[in-house]
Amino acid sequence: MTEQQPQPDGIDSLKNAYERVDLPLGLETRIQAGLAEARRSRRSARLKGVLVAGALVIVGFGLSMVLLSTPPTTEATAPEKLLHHAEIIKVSGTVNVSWGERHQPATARLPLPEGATIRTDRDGSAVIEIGPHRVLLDRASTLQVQALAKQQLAFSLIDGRTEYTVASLTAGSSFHVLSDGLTVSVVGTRFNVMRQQQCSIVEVTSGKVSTRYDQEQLILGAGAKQEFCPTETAVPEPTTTGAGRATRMGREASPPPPLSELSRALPSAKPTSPKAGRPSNRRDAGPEGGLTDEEKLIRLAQVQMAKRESRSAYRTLKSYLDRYPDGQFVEEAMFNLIRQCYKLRRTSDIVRYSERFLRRYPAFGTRSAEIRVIYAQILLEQGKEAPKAFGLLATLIERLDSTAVRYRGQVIYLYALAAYRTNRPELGRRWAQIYLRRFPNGRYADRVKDIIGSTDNL
Amino acid sequence: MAPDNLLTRCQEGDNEAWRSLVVQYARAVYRWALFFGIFQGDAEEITQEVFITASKKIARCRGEAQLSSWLFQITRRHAANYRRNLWFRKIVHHKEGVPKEPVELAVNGTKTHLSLELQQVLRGMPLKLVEVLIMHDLDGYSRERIATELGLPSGTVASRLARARKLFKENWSETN
Repeated sequence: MTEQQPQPDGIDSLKNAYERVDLPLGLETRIQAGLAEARRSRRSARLKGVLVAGALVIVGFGLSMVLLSTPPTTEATAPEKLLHHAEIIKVSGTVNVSWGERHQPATARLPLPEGATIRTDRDGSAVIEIGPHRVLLDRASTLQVQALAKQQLAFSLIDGRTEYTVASLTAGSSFHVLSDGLTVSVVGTRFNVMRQQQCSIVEVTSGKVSTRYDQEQLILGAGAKQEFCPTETAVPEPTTTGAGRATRMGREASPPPPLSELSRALPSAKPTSPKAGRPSNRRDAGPEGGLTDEEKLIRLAQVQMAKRESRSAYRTLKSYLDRYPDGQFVEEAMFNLIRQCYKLRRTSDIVRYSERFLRRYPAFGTRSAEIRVIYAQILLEQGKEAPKAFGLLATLIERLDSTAVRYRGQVIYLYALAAYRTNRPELGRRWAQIYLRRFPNGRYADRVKDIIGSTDNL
Repeated sequence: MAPDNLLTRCQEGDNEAWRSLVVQYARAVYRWALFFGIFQGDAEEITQEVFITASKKIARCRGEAQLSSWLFQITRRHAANYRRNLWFRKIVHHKEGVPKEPVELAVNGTKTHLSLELQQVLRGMPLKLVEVLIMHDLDGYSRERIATELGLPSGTVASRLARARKLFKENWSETN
């Protein structure tokens, strides 16, 4: 029975969204697989119990002790880990699958357990689906499924060429491809891994991957192609198929890689001379794959900001601005520095850098709008230069409906306050009333009521 | 298949019945998990865990209880654990659990998104208020039924519902 009552604000959006939620692709299959695994595991545990009890009765205490001391099998005691359901969804030509003692030709909808090896002949290819991810196995290739756990997916490329389409990964989960000492870790992307004789080649179509080879880590962006060969082979020049620009564009456009990846990547970067036989990830490599020092510094700041380490981020950004006053990320660095100063309540720095920022980037945009709000708030908090704060806020009020202006409630409140402080009580009162109309339960409601209260006698 | 019959068959370990149970309730469980404020990837895992828990405890499910309410309670317990762990992850490991991408919703083949703000608002509300809000306003249960299923007096359900709506409204207007 449903009770018909007037719905409060926002409940309609809630209802609307609730009705539209659908099951993600493959989740139902995974639940079924998980349930089957759980049932198998329980049955096996029960069977073991019965066998052990029987053995106790029949053989006697001595033998039963032996049985009890036998290490339990993995199946009986392993915790029920959540697994991805992996299966071959498309086969063409000759493709064989083997695991344990079993060998069989691959067919569509063939489930793949951990440890399965898929081999394609010269005329064959196969597509494997693992939850939301896909792997294309090209001709004459061999791939082994190493791990299918929800938290860790891993494949080992033994020979040939494979193409991966990886959906976004959840926090704490990972997707790795291993190929003769090379480890490619994914950040949500499309990429190929090829094996040619002694060398492994990684080609990133979109997104970004992190590679680790012989203790060196390299982050490859969209468009990058990189060869990894053992030291004793001929020196292969890093191949760059338009990778210079593509890598950079990929880095800027795509979301930052997981913190753990970056945290590991950044300190390990060693600006030394290239060694023969291996690709370089030093600053000289530049856009060919590695990060330049300038990029590393800004990346480090991003990581620190994401981890909410404001003080470290503040120091890194300051160091960036000192070292690269005309660098390519100056606007981003200055903007973030002001935000960190705001978090750390470094008012003098806020004033200094906001002045510099607005002088250097006078055009109106999202960043400059936010800097104006921060700067005006600090000026008003300090109780000085209210006219300046009023001027800064007036430009925001003029463009209040622009998408560049965020924190509209705060802007209106500060404008009302600045107007009141600069002997414009009617204007202050009017905007305080506007605030209350637009945000009756907003954060600044009490403060604007004070402004209205103190202008009651007008 | 009637729920009672389904429950009996699931308790007997009928694989086909379990398959039907998943088909019937997977979407509902996933939806509850999302609306308890759980991030998309984790909501998928929790949906799997709910069914694994259900398979272990199905013998304890009372015949008279509705299967959906029973699954709702399991989801709620998993959500509560998840929220506690989220706090632990943030404080102890300094890991940020906030996703970068909003939840994708499929509507007639086209894709749209569940806004992060909406999930943020729900995550900021106590679980006991969210559960009443979901049961009453989204699943359409009556107050009496909620009271019976949660084992609460009807007046408590009414007051929680009022508080939930008020809090949601406040947080929602502040977010917007």
